[in-house]
Amino acid sequence: MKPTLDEIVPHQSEEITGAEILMRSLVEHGVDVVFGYPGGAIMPVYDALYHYQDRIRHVLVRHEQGATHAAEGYARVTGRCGVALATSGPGATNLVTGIADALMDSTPLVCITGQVGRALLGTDAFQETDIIGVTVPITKWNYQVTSADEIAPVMAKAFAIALAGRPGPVVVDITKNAQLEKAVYRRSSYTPPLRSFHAVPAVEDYERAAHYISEAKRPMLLVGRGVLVARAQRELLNFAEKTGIPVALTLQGLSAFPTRHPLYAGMLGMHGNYAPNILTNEADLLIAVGMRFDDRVTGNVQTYAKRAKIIHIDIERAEINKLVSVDVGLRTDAREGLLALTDRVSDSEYPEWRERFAALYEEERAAVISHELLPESGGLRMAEVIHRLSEATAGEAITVTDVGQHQMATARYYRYARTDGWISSGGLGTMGFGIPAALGAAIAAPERTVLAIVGDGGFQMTCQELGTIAQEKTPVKIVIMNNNFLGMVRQWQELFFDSRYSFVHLDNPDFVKLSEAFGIPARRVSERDNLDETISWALNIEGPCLIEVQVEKEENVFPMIPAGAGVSEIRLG
Amino acid sequence: MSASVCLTVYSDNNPGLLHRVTAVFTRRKMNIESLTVSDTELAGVSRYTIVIRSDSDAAGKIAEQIRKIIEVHEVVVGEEEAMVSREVALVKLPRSCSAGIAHVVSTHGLVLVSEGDSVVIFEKTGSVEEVSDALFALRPFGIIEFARSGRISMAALAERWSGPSNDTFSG
Repeated sequence: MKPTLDEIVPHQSEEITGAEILMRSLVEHGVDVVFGYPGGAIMPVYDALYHYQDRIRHVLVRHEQGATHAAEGYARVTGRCGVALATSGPGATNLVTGIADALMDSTPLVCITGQVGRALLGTDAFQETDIIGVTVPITKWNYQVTSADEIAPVMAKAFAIALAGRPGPVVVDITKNAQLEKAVYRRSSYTPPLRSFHAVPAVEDYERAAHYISEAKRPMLLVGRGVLVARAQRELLNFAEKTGIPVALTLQGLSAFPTRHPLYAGMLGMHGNYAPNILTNEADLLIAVGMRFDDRVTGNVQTYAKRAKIIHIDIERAEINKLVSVDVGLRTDAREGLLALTDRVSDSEYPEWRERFAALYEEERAAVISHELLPESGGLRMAEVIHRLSEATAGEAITVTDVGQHQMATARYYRYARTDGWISSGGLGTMGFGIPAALGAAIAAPERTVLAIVGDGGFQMTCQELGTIAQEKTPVKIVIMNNNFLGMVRQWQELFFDSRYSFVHLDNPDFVKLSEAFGIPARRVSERDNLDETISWALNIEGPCLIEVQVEKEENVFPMIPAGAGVSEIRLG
Repeated sequence: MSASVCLTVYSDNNPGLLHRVTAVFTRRKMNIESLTVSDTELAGVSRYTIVIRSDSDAAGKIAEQIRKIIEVHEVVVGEEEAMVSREVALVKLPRSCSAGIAHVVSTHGLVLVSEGDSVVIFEKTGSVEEVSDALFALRPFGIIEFARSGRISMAALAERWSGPSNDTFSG
């Protein structure tokens, strides 16, 4: 039986060290897993952690970047804060990429860094870096703690801010003296100010939005990660089914709506589907929910959706009218926004409009998809590998990707049956995200199949985390799409730089041997006939494993909106 | 159309916040023409007066980005015409000039604030243009050194920001 909070964290008046106060704060805020790496300026915290091993699982990553990505994977699955722990100086600076990634993709992280003692601040002491200064532009909030009594209230503030409104990363930098000094632990809470986090749109704005919906002949829903963050998949389904409006997803909105649903219109953006991109410019109404009109979605914003009225639901007021001027901005959480609109709209159908989507899908299918999924010759293609993985897992897996062609193949061809299967680095496009994020996701969801789908380039950016996966016996199923190229860069060089392949070829190690050296069983597959059997081997083996798929060397991801072009200029080849 | 726009930012008085506020401009390669920070009539609340050259649309978007900062309570965007603004300048001149300067002193409302053996210092307080005019008028007398404060500004209207809201987020 789990102990109660009072048993874990008794009210006490005796003084304890700042490091132990930190432990109690973590327990009180529901932290059960911490991804970290010890070092000089965080040693008192690690000493306290030694005594909390029964309550907090510490995962020893192999590089601090892995800690932040693993914490992101954990946070994306649970909806709670991921926690990363690192020492000062290089430990802290190694967190930076993951922090920036979390800010772009609205992932709640609490990063705790050690810092040199207060007396040494600003003296260029050993392993001193101004991590507060470094992380100002990439955090939602950060704070340096220099005394033990600040720790509990600051941690309360950190967890509240990371989760409130649009989630994001925070950094708490704790000087060594604050970890060692003693203070009385006091339970703390913090409620962020209303101002930028939460708002109730005016009734007349909802009424106006409902009016535009009732007038629309060619409406489309554009759905982003905000729906996943707000856990509003059910509300989205209800709204879409009531109104009959086709649903297009952004890259980070993937899996928010079931891929096989008749109203699913496909993915938006640069490598998205043909129909939703082209029809963005024919629609007379766009209902954007929890998305931010990223340039990878809009293409040339000057020619974007000029015929459409736009309704935008977003919790972050700075996102409304930031890039695209909208007709109604509803500053609220995706769930509340969808619920309120659902109440105000009536049942309808748009058969002719949906026929346009179907016709364009057929064009894409004939020109691209059929060849990708059922190639008649040549090497294995990423799309068919993803398709086979999707079939073998019945669309139920959590797919964690890295960044590049394999990411787009996964986005396009995995057919999500569950509405919470997609984890990827979208805004920052961080190569090296996949392996550690899959580790964090698998720790958060031990009952789920977690596929880490990566390219040979990105895999080698963080492949040392195989050591963590092996040590923790985390059952991640790793699939490397190996084409001995940085494939997406190569594709751009082929298409836009006259095939001048400038430093994109990789002479790779033997990935099977590498994996086996970490104690992770591995197989290589290059023949179409052996693909299903290898996938089946991976899914049935207990614990982690790795498949290296030798794929066609120079395949290109299509459709594609060339950089700077409008969405309707999307090319099928 | 680019014009002078004044952003008034009300925030908690925390170390490091200035960096966070200015980083919003740095990232967009926007130059800050003038920046002053002071306390306010509200305890624990700081007031930033930031003047930039911008069109009002871009200024509104910058204000939204500043509002995202946790410790910022409110950002008020003011077009220059709707604001009352003042600057202070200190001007050091050779003492030998003081004989012929009386006319400039009275025309521009300069105040003698320091008188040394060889130099004198005048203070000029006024609108940005008035301070510039005074400096221009003093130039022939051989300015040794001058310093100008940033601008402080206030909306001419009666309304003002009324302080941090007590409403909090509970969800």
